[in-house]
Amino acid sequence: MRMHRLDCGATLGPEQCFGPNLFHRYFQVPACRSVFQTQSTEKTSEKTVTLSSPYRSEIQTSSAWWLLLPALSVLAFVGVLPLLTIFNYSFFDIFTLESRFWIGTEWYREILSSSRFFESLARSLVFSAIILSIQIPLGVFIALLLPRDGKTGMAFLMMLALPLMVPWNTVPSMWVSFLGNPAGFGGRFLAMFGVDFDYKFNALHTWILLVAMDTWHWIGLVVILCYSSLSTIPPAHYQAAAIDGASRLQVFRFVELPKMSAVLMMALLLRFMDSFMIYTEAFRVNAGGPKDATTFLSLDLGEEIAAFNYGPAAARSIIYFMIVLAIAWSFRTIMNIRRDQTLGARQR
Amino acid sequence: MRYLLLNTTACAALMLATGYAHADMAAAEKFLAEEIAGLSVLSEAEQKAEMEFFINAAKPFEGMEIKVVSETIGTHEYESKVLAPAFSAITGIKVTHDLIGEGDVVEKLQTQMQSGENIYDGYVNDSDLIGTHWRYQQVRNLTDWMAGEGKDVTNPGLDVADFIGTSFTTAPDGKLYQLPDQQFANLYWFRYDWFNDEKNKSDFKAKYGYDLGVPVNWSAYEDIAQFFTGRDMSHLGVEGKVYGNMDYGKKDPSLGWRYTDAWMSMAGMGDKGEPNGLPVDEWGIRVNDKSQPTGSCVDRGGATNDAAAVYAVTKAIDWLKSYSPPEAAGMTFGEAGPIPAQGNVAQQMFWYTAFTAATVEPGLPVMNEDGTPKWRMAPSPHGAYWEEGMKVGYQDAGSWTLMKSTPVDRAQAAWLYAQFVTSKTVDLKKSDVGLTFIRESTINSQHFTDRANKLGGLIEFYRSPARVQWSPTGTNVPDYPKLAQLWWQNIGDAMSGEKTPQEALDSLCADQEKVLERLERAGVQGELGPVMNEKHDLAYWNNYAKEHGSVAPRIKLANEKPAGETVSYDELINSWK
Repeated sequence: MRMHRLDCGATLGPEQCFGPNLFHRYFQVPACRSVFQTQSTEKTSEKTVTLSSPYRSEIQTSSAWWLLLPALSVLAFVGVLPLLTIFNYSFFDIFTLESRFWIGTEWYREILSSSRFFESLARSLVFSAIILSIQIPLGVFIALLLPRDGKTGMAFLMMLALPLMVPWNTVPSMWVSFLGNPAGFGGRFLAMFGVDFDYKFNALHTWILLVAMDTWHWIGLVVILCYSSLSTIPPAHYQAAAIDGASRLQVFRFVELPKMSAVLMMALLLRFMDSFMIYTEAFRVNAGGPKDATTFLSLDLGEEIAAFNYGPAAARSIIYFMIVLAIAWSFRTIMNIRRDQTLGARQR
Repeated sequence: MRYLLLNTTACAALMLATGYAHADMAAAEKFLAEEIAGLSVLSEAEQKAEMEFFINAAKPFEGMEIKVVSETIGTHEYESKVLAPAFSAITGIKVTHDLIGEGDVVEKLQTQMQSGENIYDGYVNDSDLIGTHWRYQQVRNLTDWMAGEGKDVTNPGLDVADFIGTSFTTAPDGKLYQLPDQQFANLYWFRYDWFNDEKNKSDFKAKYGYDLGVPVNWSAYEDIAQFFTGRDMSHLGVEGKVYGNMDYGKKDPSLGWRYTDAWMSMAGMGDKGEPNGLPVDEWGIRVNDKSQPTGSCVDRGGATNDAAAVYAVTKAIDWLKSYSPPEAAGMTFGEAGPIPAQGNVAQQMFWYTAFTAATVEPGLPVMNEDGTPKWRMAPSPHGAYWEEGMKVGYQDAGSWTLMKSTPVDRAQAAWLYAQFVTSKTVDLKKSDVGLTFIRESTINSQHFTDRANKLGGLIEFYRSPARVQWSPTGTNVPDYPKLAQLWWQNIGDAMSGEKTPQEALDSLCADQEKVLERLERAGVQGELGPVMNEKHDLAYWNNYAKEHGSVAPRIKLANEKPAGETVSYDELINSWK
């Protein structure tokens, strides 16, 4: 069966949607039809150009590459060059830049054979997993609750965005003084319920604090992203769902979630990378303690940098970069495979 | 007196020789009249002569903009806000004096050292880095500088001999590498009023069999800590629980400071020697006859993990747990600093005199109504392993440092500014603000004789011959930034109980040796760099030490708690005079 394209983001099969009758009626909606029309026109015109004038098309392609040059050079300057420099440093023991001492892969071997590295890696992964499993559903949930109309929704969004503007250094200081007992309001509040919140010596409490702090700081981002994609869903989709008698859960599953998927992917990646490399908050709250319970990968890197050990720090950076890259890539691949599977299932 | 005469002669000669610089003299006169206002060890004519030197020497640099940097403490704030603008007005050299954290100063310096790019034209850098500067040879040695490129811009009235901290900034090659700008020490801090209370005195004597007083050894400190912790002090009007010790134990970069400063040598780790133990210093690092570092662990002849070091760390942990406020274990340096001034702490072993100004503020619970303090400072007691001639405490000497990678003319202009803010004209006034003394002439001035009773013993300490036993990190440490970074993590592991003190120190010395080995392998410090010793057991090194007339590394003493010993504060002060 043919797929019906609702918009540029999500695709729906009719059976999975609201039932065949209403679905067909749905496509009588002029706005949606125009989408089809535009697409088919584009395709035809492309075809015409390619067939009638192959040379011209080649010229266009190569000139397009030239036009990319400024962007590519900026990218090379800010992205590739520093990475290459760091990659180069990671094979040296550096005391001054003039006197670098070649040591080959020693730093890599040392880091990858230390149990401390794997312990920190495990902590970082667990932390990111917790962060994602809390922040993504919570962000979606809050975005769904927000009113879609102009002013009220915007006011809520602005409120949620406020923590995003707080400098990273300030966040841990704020939370630590908030939870101080007897000086902090939060600390006194918890004490009233007999909770002795001891983030300095209780590992569980330190973790709770870090997760809460990170969620407070970044939930706004997830909400804004989700909200932005939700607000692009035309009311007609909801109307169609309502006419089909779809439950709230079905609306979410088949209208809203597909619409949000691209943006959620971005939120997931952004939040993964940031939480995986959390430094300032974890360092300022307990410097990796108690008893190394919050020593994440980035804290080990921070120590190397603070000691001006540029070689080992560079090697660590490269290793961490590869980890982030591998995980981000597998996220993407898994999502793509799933999408393809869904598509395939629907096409069958 | 000799210096004064020399100085006067030099200034008078200058006055005769240079009669043409009156264009900027107006700014200088304004500064002398409004800011210095007579608070100087120099007479008015001498001050003017010194100003005239700066005006003339700065002529070639007029209009130049230079940048210097220092850590954020009161003394430097005064320099940055008051002295730098005055210097600019007087000389025409525009100075930006940046204030950043001490760690950031080291980072900027390190970046300049590693890249060779000029970031600042002058640094006020702790003299703890003397071993680093001497070995990497990236810093201008001032002895040669003052005789060579810097000759024309060196103040004839500088009087290097008047500085009290030059032994800390002189390398084993006999050259001066840094010029002190501010100094403070760590001392023992205690409640003079509690110690002089008759009831406390008699109760203490009845319990411990000796007089309550300034502890001479750690045994007495421990007894006094135990005596005061939880003691009912309501007869002196003290409310709340009282503690016999104050310290901090949170795993944080500041946790390492005290240990690299002096704690280990106070316990008796390392060898005898001034300003630092030789051949083994207070970091436990051994050097050979050529001042090349040879090891840090006991098996290479070092002392970082010997019995004295274990004793030092064990005692700190015991006292933190048993005699300090419970919050102290979760505090950092900054959080713990103000606690004694709140009035419930009897004594503190390791108290920085940099806190003096904040602890003599009127209205504090530790101040009398007449403006005199209820507390005093005295030399810190020493541990069971300590022997006469060992380092007894730390002295921080923030010192002017000129890099070789700074262009000569910029270094010359920065050198003029450095001499201006440490000149005899301004030093008394600057010290009056910041209480971080660097000049003998200032310490001995009538002004501080008059102010002494308001400062809890600070002046008495600086006037005593004993002050040279307080010293910064010395020349055994070949790369301060890399090595200092290793301490807080390892000490933190011991403090949290994750490792025993022995395990933590074993790991610390191994980490230190790794840095030494890297330096040796890279050969970056040439003849001055580390040459690691072969490994032997403790008995071998202990015998080796005995044969060579030294003591470190140490074998565990059978009795680490000898009889407590105290001295009356007033007797102590008299012995200093």
